[in-house]
Amino acid sequence: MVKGYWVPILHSHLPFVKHPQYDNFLEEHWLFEAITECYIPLLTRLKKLEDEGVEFKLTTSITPPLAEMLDDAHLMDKYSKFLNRQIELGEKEVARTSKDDPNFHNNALFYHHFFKETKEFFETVLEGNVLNGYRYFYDKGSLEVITCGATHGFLPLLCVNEKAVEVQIEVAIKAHQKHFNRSPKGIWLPECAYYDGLDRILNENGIEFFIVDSHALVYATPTALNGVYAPAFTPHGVAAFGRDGESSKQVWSSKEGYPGDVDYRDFYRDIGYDLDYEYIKDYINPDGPRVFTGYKYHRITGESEYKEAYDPYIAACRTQDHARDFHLKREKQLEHLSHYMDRTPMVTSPYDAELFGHWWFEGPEFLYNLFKEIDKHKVIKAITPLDYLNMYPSNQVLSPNPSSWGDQGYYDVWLNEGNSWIYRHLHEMADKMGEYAHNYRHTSDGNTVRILNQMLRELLLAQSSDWAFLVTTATATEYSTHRTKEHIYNFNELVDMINNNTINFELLEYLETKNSIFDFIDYKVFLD
Amino acid sequence: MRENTEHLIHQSIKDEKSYSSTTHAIDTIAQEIPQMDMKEYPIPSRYYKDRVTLLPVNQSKYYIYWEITDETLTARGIDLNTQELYFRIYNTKGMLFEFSSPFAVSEYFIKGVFENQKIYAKVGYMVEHTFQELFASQSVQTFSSQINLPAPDDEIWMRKGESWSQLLHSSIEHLEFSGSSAKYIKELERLRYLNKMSQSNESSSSHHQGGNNG
Repeated sequence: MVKGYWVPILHSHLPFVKHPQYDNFLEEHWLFEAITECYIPLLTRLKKLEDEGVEFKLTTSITPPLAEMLDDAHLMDKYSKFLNRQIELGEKEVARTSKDDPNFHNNALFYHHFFKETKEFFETVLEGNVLNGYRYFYDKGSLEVITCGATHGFLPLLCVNEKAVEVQIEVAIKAHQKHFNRSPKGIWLPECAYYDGLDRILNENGIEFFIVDSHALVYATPTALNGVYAPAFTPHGVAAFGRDGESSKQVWSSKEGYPGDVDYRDFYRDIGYDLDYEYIKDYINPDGPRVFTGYKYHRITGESEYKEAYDPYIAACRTQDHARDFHLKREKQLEHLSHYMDRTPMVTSPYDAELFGHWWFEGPEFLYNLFKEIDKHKVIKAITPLDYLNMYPSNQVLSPNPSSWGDQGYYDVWLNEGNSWIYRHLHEMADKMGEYAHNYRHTSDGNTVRILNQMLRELLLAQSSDWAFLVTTATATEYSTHRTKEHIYNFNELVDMINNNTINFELLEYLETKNSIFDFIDYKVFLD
Repeated sequence: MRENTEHLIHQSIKDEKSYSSTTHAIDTIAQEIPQMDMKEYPIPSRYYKDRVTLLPVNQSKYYIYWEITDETLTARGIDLNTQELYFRIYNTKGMLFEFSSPFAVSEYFIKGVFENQKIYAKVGYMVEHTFQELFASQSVQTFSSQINLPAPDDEIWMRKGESWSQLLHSSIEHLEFSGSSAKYIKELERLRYLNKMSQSNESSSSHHQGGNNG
């Protein structure tokens, strides 16, 4: 008998980064690393589950910028070159370690094989497009793909101009239709950030559910009577699923979480930093600074600097232990909850998809073993949010508390003394976009339309919450600040082209190539 | 029943503060290295438009930014060399906070606990100790950190595919809520009794008190 339901949800997102003017641009590697360590390993595990006849259900967002990048010929061509370079480094490493560093020879062989297998899966099974893998399972019904904001804009801070929020949602729906040939049923609100009234826009766009942090439901008006263990409807009839802290902590916590196990791969030790500069310089940043290469030969070992060699086999065995532990804890949790509820409880566990594989290298294998464990015991069942809503269509109505899943649970991460300067510009740009969309709503001039469409792209790209986040965490601060200013500047240059009736075609074409997100975009979406 | 609810709520937030999701995956993917040959992009320092905008940060912190144009200052006879602009935060009952600034274009972080209410800002200047309003910001719904259990009779339940407006439409057609979901809920609680009394709405049979659904 099923004691309860587990609703696993992954959030797959990266900001739109494309620099066609460079052959090798570090920030484009964010995508390449995520494809190699997260998306392809997940898809290979899902395929393995399917081949083994293991039943699974998983929900994942594929955000519009991520989908656009995965579908971008220029970026995918660079990704192929990235894989070739990784394999080339592997060949060098196999030769080097066999002679000079035998302690890590097996690690070099492991990575060389890993990158070759990735390349083969990418080119043959996925036919050079990672989205094909997601479409396959989406069409099969084992994967529910949901959308997000068009460029992951932090909606509560954009809603000063409500049209800006509506456009973030409407463009996201169109992008989902473009990439998956259907409308999304659910949305991962960027940063799980909710504000009062957002549900109207979601409802009007056919969205049936979204995910929030626990305090959005507990401190709702009124409080959710089942806590986060059942969804609640907003006044506009959209279901809110609350994050379960217990299952989140088991994976997220830096102290108690599984990824910190001593047998797992150490994230920080990397030959990009460890090996002689002359030897490694062709595989790190072309400008010179050392960066991660993905060749990481050590296991976590302990808290000290001393690290032992990583053993992928032992690490894979640990994922089986952790899958059993997670399963047992969910079983106990759901059994406990069922004593307090008049329906079968559910536990919603949302995670960043990139956690599984990048930060926690063994994460995809953990998920594979976990689904096997669930299928074997059949005491808990993995389902999608829609599955639960179909089983329990009647739910409490409440107004979720404005909140996010960021540190401290509110908007601090995206609005503080370090990044507040951004919002004045975002609001002004949104107002101006509405004004120009209205003024030129009847224009039939092709070049004016191109300018207006590119203005909207620049606005959307400037709105990405990633820039404000990275400024706060002091990671890629310079790049994030630069990107924000770039889009503000581009937007204003485009406005000037219209105002002065003088088109800088060279600049316009450059922007259309570089910031090429959403080829279907139509500035008229900004009209009331 | 009440004990069960309290237990579920407690369980829901017991781990809330025990970890943080500040470290998103992107934070580990991105690496801080010096940017080479990056073009500088100058951005406007002002937009020559009157504006005051209020944004919530958390339960006890709010952000306000503004621009007062030279035209407005001149028209009102405001000289910021000798005078200051005054900013006041209000809820529906009155003023909550006040500060002043000598700058026409600037920003400020307000510290104050204004939970679970609509607030907005006004900017103005003083004439003989009297506040003269220039203009106001949009209103924002603040956060809550309180458990707010409904009275047992005030629980509202709804079936998939419905929305509040459908529940209310047949009995109350004249209400305007100006976008506040919290207001909808309060109205729903009140109107539930009207619906019950009138029994005129077939759709009301699909929403009922909690505890028996599925």
